[in-house]
Amino acid sequence: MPDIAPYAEATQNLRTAVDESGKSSELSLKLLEATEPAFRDNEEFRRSVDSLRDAWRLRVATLDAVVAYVDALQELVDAGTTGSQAVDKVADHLMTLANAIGVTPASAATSATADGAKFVYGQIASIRASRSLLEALPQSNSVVTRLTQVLREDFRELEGILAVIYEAQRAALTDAHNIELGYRKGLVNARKALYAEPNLTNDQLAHLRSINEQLEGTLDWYLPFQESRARIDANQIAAHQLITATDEGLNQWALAHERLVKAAQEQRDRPPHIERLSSVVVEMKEITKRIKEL
Amino acid sequence: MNHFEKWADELKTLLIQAERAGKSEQLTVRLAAMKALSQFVSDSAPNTPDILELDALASRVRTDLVLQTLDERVAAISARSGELISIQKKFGQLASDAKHRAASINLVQLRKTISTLTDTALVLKELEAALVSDEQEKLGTELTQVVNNIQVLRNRLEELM
Repeated sequence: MPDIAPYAEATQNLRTAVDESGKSSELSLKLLEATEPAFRDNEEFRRSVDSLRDAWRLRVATLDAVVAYVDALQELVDAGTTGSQAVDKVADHLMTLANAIGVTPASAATSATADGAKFVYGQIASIRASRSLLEALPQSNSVVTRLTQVLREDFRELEGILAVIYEAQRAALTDAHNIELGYRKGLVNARKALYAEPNLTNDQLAHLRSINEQLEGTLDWYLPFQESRARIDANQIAAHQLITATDEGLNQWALAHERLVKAAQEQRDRPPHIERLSSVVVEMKEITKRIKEL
Repeated sequence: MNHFEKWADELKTLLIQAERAGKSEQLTVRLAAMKALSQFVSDSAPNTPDILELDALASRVRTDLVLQTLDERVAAISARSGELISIQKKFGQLASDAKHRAASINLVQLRKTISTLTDTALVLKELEAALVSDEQEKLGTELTQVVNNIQVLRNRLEELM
C-alpha cells in the first residue's frame, strides 16, 4: 500500500496556506479602506473586496473537499492493512448475537481455522484496497492537475492585487504626511547645503544648530511614520513569500499525486521524491506563522 | 515659468503615462505609473493651495489605477469559480466512493446487519417474557420460529467467515 499520510498532511497544510493567503489579503484591503479616504465608502472598491472574499472562500471549500478525499483514501489504505481486524470485529458481533438468542456458538471453529480465516481475509482486504486505490487515484489525477492550474493562476492574480494594494498603502501613508514630509525635506536639503560649505561662519553654524533642533522636533511623527512604512514593507514581503511558497507547494503537490498514482500502479509502499513537497510544506507553515505574528 | 506651471506640465506627462498604464495589462507598467504619481505628490512644492490641487488630481488618478487593477484581477479570479464548483463536486464523489469501498472492505454493512439482528433478538425475547398465558399460546410458536431463523442466519454468516 502506498503511504498516503505525508500526502494527507501536505494537503491539509496547503489548504491552510491558501486560507491564510486569502485572509491576509482581505486584511490588507480592509486596512487600505480604513486608512485611505479615497477607498472608504467607495462602492467599486467594496464590491471588489466582497467578490474576492467570496471567490477565495470557494477556493478554501474546494481544498476542504480535497482534504476529505485524501482522508477517504487513507481510510481505504487502513482498510487494506487491517483486514484481519475487520474479521475479529465481525466475530465479536456474532458472539453478541449468539448471547442474545441464548445459544452457545458451535465449537467447530478452532483457533487455527479462525487464524486461517483472518489471514485469508487480510489478504483479500489488501487486494481489494489496492484495486480500489488503483481505480480511484488515476480518476482524480486529472482533477488534481486542473485544480493546481486554476489555483496557480489565482495566486498570480492575487500577487498583482497585493502589489497595487501595498503600493496604495504606502502612498496613503505618505500623502497623509505630505505637508510634514515637505517641511522635513526642506530642512534636510538646507542642512545638506550647509554641510557642503567649506568653512561655516558663526551665523551658518547657528543656522545649522537650529536646523538640527527642528529636525529633532520632527521625530515624534517621523519615527512612527517610518515604522508604519517598514510594517507595510514587511507585510508585503511576507505575503509575497507565502504566495511564492504556496505556488511551489501546489506544483509539488500535483507532482506528488502523480507519483502516488505510479506507486499504486507499481504496488510500491512508499512514493518516491515526496521530500521536496514535505520541505515546501514546512516553509509554508513557517511563513504562515510569521504572517499571523505580524 | 512659475512653480504652478512647472508642476502642472510635469503632471500632464504623468497623466499620459497613467492613461497608457491603464490600457496595459502589465503590472510593472501600472506600478511604475502609480509610483510616479506618488513621487509627484512628494516632490511638488511649495504646498500652496493650487499645487495641492495638482496633488489631489495625481492621487485621484493613482486611486483609479488601483481600482481598475483590483477590478480586473478579481474578475479573472471569479471567472474560474464555476469550474471550481465542478471540481469540488468531483472530489466529493471520489471521497464518497472511497469511503464506501473502505466500509465494504471493513465489513461495516455485515456488522450493522448482525447488530440489527441482535437488537431484534433482544426485543423478541423481551416480548416473549412479557406475554401472558393466552398470548403465549397464540404467539409463542411464531416468536420461537423467528428466533430460530435468526440463529440459522447467524450460523450461515459465521460459516462465511
